[in-house]
Amino acid sequence: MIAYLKYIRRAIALLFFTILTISFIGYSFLGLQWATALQFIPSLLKFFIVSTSIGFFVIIAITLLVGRVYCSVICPLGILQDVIARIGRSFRKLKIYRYTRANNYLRYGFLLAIIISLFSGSILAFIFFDPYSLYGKIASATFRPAFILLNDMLSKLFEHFNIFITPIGLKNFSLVTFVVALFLLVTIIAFSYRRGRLYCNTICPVGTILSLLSRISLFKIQIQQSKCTRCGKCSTVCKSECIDIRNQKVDFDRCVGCYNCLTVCSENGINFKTFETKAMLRKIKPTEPVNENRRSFLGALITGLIGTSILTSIKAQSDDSNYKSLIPIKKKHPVTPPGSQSLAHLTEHCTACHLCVSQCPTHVLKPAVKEYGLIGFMMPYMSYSDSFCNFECKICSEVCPTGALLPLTVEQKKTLQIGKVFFIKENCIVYTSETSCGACAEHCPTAAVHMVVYKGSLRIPDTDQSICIGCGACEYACPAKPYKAIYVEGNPVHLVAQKPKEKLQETEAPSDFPF
Amino acid sequence: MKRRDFLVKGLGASFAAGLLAKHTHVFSAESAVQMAKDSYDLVAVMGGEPDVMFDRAIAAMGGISKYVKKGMRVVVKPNIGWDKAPEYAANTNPLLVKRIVEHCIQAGAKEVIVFDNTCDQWQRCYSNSGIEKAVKDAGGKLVPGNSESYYHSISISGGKRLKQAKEHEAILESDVFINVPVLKSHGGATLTIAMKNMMGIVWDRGYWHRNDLHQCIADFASYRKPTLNVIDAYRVMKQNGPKGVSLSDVITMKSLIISEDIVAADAAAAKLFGLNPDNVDYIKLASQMGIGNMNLEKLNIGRIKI
Repeated sequence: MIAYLKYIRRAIALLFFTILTISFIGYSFLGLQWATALQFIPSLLKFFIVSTSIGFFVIIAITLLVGRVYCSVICPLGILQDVIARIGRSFRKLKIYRYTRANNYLRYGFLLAIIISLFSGSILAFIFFDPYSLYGKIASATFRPAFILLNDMLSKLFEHFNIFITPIGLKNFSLVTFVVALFLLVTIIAFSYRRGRLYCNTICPVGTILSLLSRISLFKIQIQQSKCTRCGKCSTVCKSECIDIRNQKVDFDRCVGCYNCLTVCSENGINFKTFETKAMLRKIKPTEPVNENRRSFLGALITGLIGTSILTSIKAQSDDSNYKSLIPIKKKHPVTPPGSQSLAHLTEHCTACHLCVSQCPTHVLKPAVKEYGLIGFMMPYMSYSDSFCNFECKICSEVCPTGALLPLTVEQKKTLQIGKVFFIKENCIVYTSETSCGACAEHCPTAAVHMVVYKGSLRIPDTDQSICIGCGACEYACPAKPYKAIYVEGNPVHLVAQKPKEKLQETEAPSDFPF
Repeated sequence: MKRRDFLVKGLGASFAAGLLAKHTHVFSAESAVQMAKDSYDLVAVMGGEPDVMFDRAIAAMGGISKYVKKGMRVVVKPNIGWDKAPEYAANTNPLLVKRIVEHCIQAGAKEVIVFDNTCDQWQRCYSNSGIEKAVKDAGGKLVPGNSESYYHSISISGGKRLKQAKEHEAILESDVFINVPVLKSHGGATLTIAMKNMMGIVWDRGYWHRNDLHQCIADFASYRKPTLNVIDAYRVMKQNGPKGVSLSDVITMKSLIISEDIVAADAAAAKLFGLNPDNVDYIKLASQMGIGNMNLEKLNIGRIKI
């Protein structure tokens, strides 16, 4: 039985990893709610808003019972590292792991720094260090574009053979987020390729918290000295590098519960044992000087952050029209996603996992670069340049695991005012060219933007902010270049719009042909 | 790789369609008195269900086999622009689309393709309009129009403002193009009917909006003439179009108009809506450009009441 634990672990881990990865690539997958509800930091954050969010509590309970199973089975970043390490080992000359001592100064230092940074009111630390959110960013910003690109290329290729694959198209690609995610991915690959679960045992705040809890786990993996032959096999397969074969000790703090050691031991010399106070007290805390490599990693991370935030995406402009709109649009507030309550609520609760960005069917949700400032770096905002929010869609509010977006009903969504429409007449084609347009009014779901008589048969947009929900359809549809003539200004606190007015029909259907 | 093929085919098809139109016109002028059914320029039906009205209308036009021959590739292009249920009349009636596809398949069409370049998210439009199910049930093929890669450059020699566009390859590869718009009010274009519905077979609509919408609609109609225009006026959105807000925007007219002449079809539909076609700029422009005839008194109109 014990020997099979490794395979059970692999099966469950694969399930979680598949559910999350497919969801982050943009497809809906059964069990997503469960897979995200068990993520430690997100469910903890959500708990302060929704008292039924007890996923973190389940993780604590599991940890107190058998240790950091979360890290091997539920955490997608942990599983990703296992996958990389597994592949990496087959390429490396040195195919084994070696025991190393714990880097306690570093890991507790990191945890302390993260906790202090949270007290400053910024959630930025979780954006960069919560393992689930890190994986989300990596999958959403690198795997997803790669998948879509491949799909769309195959779609073109197979068309020649009369096989039709629907192209997806990528509207909410953010170069900055891609660069950051790619950097994170490369870092994680380097860490896990060389040192297995090094990230989890030095940087990851969840890893450190759970490692503290696992000190008092009821069942722990330990070497049974009577049976152990010191062959060292267990130590060579330990991704956490936490089996000290010389002293026949397992540093269970750092054990992520992969159970490779149990499978490999032919003598049954390493196994679960119940909690032993003495063993715990005797445990020494070795110290080690701060590693320069890791310090430079942090430095690089911060430099990368600042560097990338300076970059802005440049858009090509075509010059097909014989006029130009002149007044640039300056939004005071970006539009926050439906369900985010307010700008403050979003920036206090979002860990930028980008599940909403991946799941958004219209790709209107995009990771922010400068829109929210540093405090909301990479958090989702409504980008109306390439898309708009579907009137009856509320997927983002349903998938959010942190409570940054709270669930909405369709009826709530239809009157939820996330922003208000503003019309710049001087940029409007009807005003500048004196020809018909009406693309904005055409797309408006509530008739908050509607056409009124202007000159002769010409009609020009007029707006009614009281019934506007801020979906951005008008802004998206407006063909004025380079500056749009209509745009949505975000509501820093979401409001409720009035229901669209219903005007009864004055005319009746003709009873005979009018020609 | 097939762009040149597309062009050749497209030109060939429109040339053939032009010949056919001319031929029938001459034919009808010669024996207008004797020829009752086959010579209608336009048939209007009132008082039936969408599918029944189409059955009667197409019979009066001479039957679907007059247009769809065995082995032909047919495109049926309804309005599927919006993520709205059928009763809101923002999209073409699914029952009508289904019946048209069935007729084409019965006539021996090789394939019947249905698509639209939608405004709302395309999968939601296809599904919530009821058209996806209707087309599948009828044996047609629904294809996406959401990617620029489907669209190929064409030039519009007779266009005044619109000289170039990118047209969906399904139309370029088709032998028969049946345009099936729904009659609706429209904030920008006053009305959306058959000519306006063709904005759903091109890619960059923003250009049209920037460069005199009415003229561009007429320009495109000078290039692409559908084999047949079937106007759905079963439910008609009288206000807040083309998307609509509530059911109070919609009245039930139980009508249908069919014609080979896109300008005549639009003019008749405008009258049905309660507007003078002269007040819809693109109809007037298209008539002036000689694309069709908006003067309904000059046409041989079949009127069927059920």
